[in-house]
Amino acid sequence: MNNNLFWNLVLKDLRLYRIMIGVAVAAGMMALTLLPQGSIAFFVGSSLALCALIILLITLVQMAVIGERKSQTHYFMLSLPITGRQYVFAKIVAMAFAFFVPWLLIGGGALLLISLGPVKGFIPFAVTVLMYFPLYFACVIAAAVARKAEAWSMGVIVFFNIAINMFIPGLLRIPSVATTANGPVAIWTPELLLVLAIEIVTATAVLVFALWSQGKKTEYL
Amino acid sequence: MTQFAFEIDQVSKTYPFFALKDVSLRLECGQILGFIGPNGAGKSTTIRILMGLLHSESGNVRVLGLPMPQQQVAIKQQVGFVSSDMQLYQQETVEWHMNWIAHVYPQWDAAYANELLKRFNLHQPQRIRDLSQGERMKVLHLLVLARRPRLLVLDEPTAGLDPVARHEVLAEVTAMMQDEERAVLFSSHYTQDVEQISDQIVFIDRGRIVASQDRESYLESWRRIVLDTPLGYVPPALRALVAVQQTVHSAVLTVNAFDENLLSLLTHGGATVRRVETMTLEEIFVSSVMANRNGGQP
Repeated sequence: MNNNLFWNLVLKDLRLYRIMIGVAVAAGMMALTLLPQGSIAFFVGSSLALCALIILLITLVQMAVIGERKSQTHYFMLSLPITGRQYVFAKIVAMAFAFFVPWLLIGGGALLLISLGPVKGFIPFAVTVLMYFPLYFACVIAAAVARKAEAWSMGVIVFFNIAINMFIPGLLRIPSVATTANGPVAIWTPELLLVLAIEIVTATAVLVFALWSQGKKTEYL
Repeated sequence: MTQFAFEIDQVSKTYPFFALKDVSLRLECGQILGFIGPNGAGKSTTIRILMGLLHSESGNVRVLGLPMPQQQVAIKQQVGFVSSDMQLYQQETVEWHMNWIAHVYPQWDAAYANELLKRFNLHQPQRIRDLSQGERMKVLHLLVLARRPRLLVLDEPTAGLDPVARHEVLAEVTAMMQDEERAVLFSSHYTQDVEQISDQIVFIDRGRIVASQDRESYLESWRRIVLDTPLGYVPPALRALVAVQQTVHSAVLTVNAFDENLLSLLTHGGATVRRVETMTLEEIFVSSVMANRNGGQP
């Protein structure tokens, strides 16, 4: 493996999309300032923070993976001393940095603000909602690198954008979550731990499958 | 022992509506190979297999003595590849691309890159999106040539270039060949460009190699013979006869193995030679492809 080129590819993507990443972090941070301002402001702020993450994820995949393929810049990249599989791996690593650094900053900021407030019982629920994003990331990046047709990625994006509107209310309907989320103490109920485990295991499995399937490919254009 | 820049041996690749069948191709170091074919003939597929971007279903590929695609990282370190389908990052500058490639290739020749900038009339602060298609192709050539590759693979490299730019690019490619260690595979629709710089010519059509020879042999062996013919003239069945166009009193015969003795065979039964014409590479290419499609000997 050409480590020098691999990290050059990762840094190249981070540099190319630095403005987009910066805008998402700034928007997320501004949204976080609303969280301590009361219940309506908390709802608006958390919604805006989630929107910033969703828009960042969609735009990154659209521009860095699908866009690079459509514009044929990936053809130039694949002519460099790297295998197709390594190129895809570098792309996934770059996208992971580009998405998870803002995710950590915004998500970590939100958790910090919640932990400073009186309703610490909200933390397990917030963590479970935040962990929806690694699963979203894994599925959309896997679809984008595995399939040439843009429709697959669009289908995954539409699915996850609709599903989050059912996922959040669905979590709150779990009786143990509903009773502990507004409490003063963070309680990790078995139901929430199960959802978290499903999110983490599925996201990992999807990413491993995406990388494994790249090794089977005989065409990288 | 002859050193080959690459060897493609019996390579096949099948798609629903196209198949590359048992393609074999070799290029000696120090040579330029012109690879000519109509649209959809299999040129780009062959080149992509050569570059490890597609894997063939059968056959072997060796580039600079190493197996492709298994050793593609080591191979691509010494191979420069330009295709008219490639694009650079639109929002970035020429300078950014040069710096980025310089980091990837230790053999990057910065002085030569700057020289090429001047020759191609490019400017480092220019953004790719502000360049014409021809200028973008020049940037691609600069990025590849300044790496000093041992093998240069050019897939339609002069597409979109004006005649002056084509001349500039071809001059640089030819200049690179002053070093006997290097080799160039040049695929193009522009047979004039191929004729100008190639040592070897290969024609491909419908996924098969139709003909492969050195350029001089092609130009020497192909002729168009115009005959004044008597009524009822039937040309003799010769292997060298590729195409016949006949009117009542004349016939135009295309032959692919011309020598003076052939004229006496063709002028039997009262036909006389009006003139013998040399053919351009484009005419030879079209005749080869048409003969192959008609089931004849190209």
